[in-house]
Amino acid sequence: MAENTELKGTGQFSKWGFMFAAMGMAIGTGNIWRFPRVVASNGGGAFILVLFFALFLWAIPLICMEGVLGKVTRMGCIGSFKELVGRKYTWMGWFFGLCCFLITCYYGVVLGWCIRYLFYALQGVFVAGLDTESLWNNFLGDPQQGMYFYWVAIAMCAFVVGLGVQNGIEKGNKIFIPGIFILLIFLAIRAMMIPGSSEGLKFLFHINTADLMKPTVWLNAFTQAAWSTGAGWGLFLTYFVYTKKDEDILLNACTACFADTSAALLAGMAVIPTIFALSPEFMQKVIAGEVGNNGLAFIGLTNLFSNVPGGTVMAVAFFSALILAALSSEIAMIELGVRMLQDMGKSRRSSVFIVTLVVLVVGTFAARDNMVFENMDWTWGVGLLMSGLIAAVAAMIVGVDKIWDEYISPVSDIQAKWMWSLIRLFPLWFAIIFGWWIQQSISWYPGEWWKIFPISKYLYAPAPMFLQWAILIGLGFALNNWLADNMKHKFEPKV
Amino acid sequence: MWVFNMFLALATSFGAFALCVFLALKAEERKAAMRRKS
Repeated sequence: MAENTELKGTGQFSKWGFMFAAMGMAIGTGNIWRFPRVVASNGGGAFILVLFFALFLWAIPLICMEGVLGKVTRMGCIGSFKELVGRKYTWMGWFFGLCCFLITCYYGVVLGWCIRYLFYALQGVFVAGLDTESLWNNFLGDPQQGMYFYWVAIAMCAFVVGLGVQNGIEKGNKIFIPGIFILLIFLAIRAMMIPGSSEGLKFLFHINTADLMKPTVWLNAFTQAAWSTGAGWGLFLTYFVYTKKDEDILLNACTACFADTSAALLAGMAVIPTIFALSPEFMQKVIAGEVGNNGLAFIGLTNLFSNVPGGTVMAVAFFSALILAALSSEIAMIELGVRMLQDMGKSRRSSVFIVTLVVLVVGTFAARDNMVFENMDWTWGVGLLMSGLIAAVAAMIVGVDKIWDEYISPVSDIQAKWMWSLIRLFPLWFAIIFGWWIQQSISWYPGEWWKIFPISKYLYAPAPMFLQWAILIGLGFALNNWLADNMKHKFEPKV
Repeated sequence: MWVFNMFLALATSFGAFALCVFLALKAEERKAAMRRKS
């Protein structure tokens, strides 16, 4: 029987296994290196307060929609849109799935960087006087090293995904998630032991009411909620395919979001007090928004680890936490591609092989050339906002009330319809957040924002981004019927 | 004040997370009891 054949190779999540996997998917590098940077440059406490609102207004409704798509149809991104929303909307699932799949290709590069830096820490490279900026630039300028560590990262992920949902992803996340929390708690406690670190905590949790009035604080908090929780990426959708028939969609959405925020708070309590205590000058740069994710982790923090007693242990803990967070997210991304191929009738084994091969080939370009990485990150990172809109529009096509009454409410212990119904407001948040990013992008290229070539000059311009989206959507339209015809192999849950 | 804010933020985030896990546990217990009955 087809049902048993698939279960042999794939398996199904247990209740707790799914909870761990969903947390692993949500908790990524965005919690550990992006949250501390963004919270610092957006007023600290005020940003945290707004982030809680953003979870309810942006993340939880979107995750619920993903849960419904995956659990009701038991198919991946493309097939679920065809089954639940309608055959003519298959292209929406194509954009939804492919956008995240393209992120898979460069997200593994970040994992490779973290592995490289863990090795540096273990080799005792981080010693006083180390020029961390040169170390980073030399690493980034060496295509061979970047490529090899990327391959190691993808091999690790493919190994876990290859073991199956139950034996690989579930068991892996049961180790990764406690590991992340233990490492972050250790780093937060260690940070608080550094003289002067309490100033960092004070900065992190002090609420300046004037900051609550700043639009950028709200815009950045919503963006953080979108990118950090993974809402609207298609990853929750993919994991929900393998859940039990009575799995609670709303409860799991809340669990993943609050676990994500808890991890982010711990990361903030580890990183900001450390910088405050050891380098107030660097902290000023972070507050001014002059430091990017890479600058914070691989240059700034590495410099601090090199100059503080016991810094090597802190570096090992920090990069290990980053690796576990990135690994648990990258695994979910690869599974997203694997599920789509299985929907087309491919075996689990060949799906894992094909996806790994494609990710290796495409991602190698990003691993070897940082410009490719930056352009992909910009194009498909902002594309995720569009994916969120697609999920919200899908909910409205199917019917917001119908989804609650038929799919969410009957199996939920949280009878809070308002949490789900907020998806009706999603297009409004999207218009504001998306418009803000585009307006920023235009301001980076005054008088030239509409230019595309050379892309190396217009990496973050809106025109190359829209062009790449248009190509993907155009392909989706062209392949709509073919995709709809071929997406017909559902996952059959055992219980 | 910031100490109060810190505890409030941590209690909200970890508290909500713990509450979700607790609800999941209770649901699991209820379903197990129903299975035993039937």
